[in-house]
Amino acid sequence: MTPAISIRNVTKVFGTQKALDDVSFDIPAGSVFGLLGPNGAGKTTLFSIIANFLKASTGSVSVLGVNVDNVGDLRGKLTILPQDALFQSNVAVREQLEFFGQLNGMTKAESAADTTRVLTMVGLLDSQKKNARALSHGMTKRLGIAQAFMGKPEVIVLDEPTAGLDPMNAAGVRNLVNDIRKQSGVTLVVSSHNLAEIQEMCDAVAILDHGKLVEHKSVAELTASHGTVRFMFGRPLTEPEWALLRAQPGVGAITVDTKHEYTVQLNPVVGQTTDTLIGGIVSELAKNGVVARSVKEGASLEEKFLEVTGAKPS
Amino acid sequence: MLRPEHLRLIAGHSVRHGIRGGAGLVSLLLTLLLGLVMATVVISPIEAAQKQSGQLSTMSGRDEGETSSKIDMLVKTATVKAIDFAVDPTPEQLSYLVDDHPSTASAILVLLFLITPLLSCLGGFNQTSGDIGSKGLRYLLFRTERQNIFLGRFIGTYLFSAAVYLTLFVILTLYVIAKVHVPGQSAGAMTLWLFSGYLRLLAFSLPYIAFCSLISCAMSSPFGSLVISLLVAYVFPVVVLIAAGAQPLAAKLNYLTPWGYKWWLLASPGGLLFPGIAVMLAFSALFVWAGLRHFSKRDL
Repeated sequence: MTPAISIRNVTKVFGTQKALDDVSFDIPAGSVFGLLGPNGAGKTTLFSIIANFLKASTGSVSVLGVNVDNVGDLRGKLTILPQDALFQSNVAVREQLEFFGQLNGMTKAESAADTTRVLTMVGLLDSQKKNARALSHGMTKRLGIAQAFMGKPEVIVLDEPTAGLDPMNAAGVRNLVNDIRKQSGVTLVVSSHNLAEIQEMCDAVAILDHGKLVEHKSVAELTASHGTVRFMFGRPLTEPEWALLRAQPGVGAITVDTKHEYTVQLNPVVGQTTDTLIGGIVSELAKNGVVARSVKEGASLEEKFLEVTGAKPS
Repeated sequence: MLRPEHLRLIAGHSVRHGIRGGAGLVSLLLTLLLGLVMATVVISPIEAAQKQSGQLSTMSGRDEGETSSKIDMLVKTATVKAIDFAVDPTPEQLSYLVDDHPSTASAILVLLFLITPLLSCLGGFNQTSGDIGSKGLRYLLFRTERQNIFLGRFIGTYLFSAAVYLTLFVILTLYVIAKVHVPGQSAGAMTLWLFSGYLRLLAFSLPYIAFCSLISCAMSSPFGSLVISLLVAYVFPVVVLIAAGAQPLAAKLNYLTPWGYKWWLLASPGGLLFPGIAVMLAFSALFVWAGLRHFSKRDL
């Protein structure tokens, strides 16, 4: 199956600075794909090359099998929410979107109808006659999302779609993504610094660091437990309680993360499951007055992200 | 791939919103202001002469026809001096401007030609640079090919400028007809010649707007684009003028830019008019080609 986006040996140099260094990976068609990385990792540069805003110094990018140098052939199939791009400040919101729709290949009437649809979708229909300069930051972001959802695109690239949005609007964007996910064949590529959001929305991710690809896996693979379970208690364990935990069946190495948090490596034997082992541990400790406040299996995307980028939480 | 529909859409959008943007409004106002100042420079002395001779004929009881022909003579002499100063014309061109056409309108056209590069730069400097700086072009870049954006905006800017010049020429025509009453310079003749001058001025402005397209797409600052366009449009001829003072042959350097050919456009159709138009088209094609080439390859 042809990938929706194919990135091959892409390097981008700005002056003496290498923003991307020989990056190659594929984004499967129909997936929701997350692009992660710390600030300055090269995410926006890669998005900009996918959209043909920037030209790769070497390497190539194709979208739906079309080299992005011929981006006109992707008209209406590829849409993008660029980061920090301003709308024409002195032109009404509706007029701008209708203009984009017509460039996408719609008739004037189709474009007007689609503009109404996307403005309703992002809650900006009441502001349709306002000039773009009259919109707040959050509204401008939603307008950007609206233009990206115009027509029937096959690939949608969203560069930090929830940045600067309040929690309600951010949730609205996530809902939009989830609605799009239901449409078969649509590929969504999203970047965000909110890793919980990416974990919730995406099937697979690529992690960039200092312009290099450091990880490219499905979210399930990245966050798989491999028998690792994190217990959080209301207080630090005493020596006898610690000994009790160590004595439970299937318990291997234990590491103390914080005073109240312990990561336990479980080694189920034949006939045991992780669930039965966790149940046994929680119940034995509870009998001795130690109640687990939370039990989490596997690593979060954030932990994996910090691990592969070598970053430390501040 | 060039898409005529996209060119039409982008050019139309550019024309519609040219006036709403600050630069478009400033361009319109300055064009009208400077154009009217140029016309006033020509018309004021004529008006004064008309008044004076009117008073004289009343006082001395001279024949009005005699007075009118004196004014006509005065106007022609003054116009010849003005044209001679600016154009350094051949006797044929002088006769074409002064005898074959209303000399007042000719003098106004000559002065307008001197400020056409300025007006063109004011109208054309912000074709793409502002949207490169604000990244606003990014909403278009995945919807159409870059050449459609570049050419669409160039066409839109040219049409907007043409509309601004037309407004100026309509006002000028009414102004001249109202103010100048000289035999041989009837309202009809004046209107026709000014309209012809408008078309010639459009031909002269084309390479400058194309040059602004090139500079504008190479910069992300509209102000920088304006300054560079104006520097090239005016500093080069000034440097040539200074150099020509020391070495007359240096004046030929003006033929490296459209400035060197501007008076060809005020020649007769049987003379240098059509070669002049061809040169303007050639310069425009060169600038558009260079701009397209750069715009298609640069990071946006």
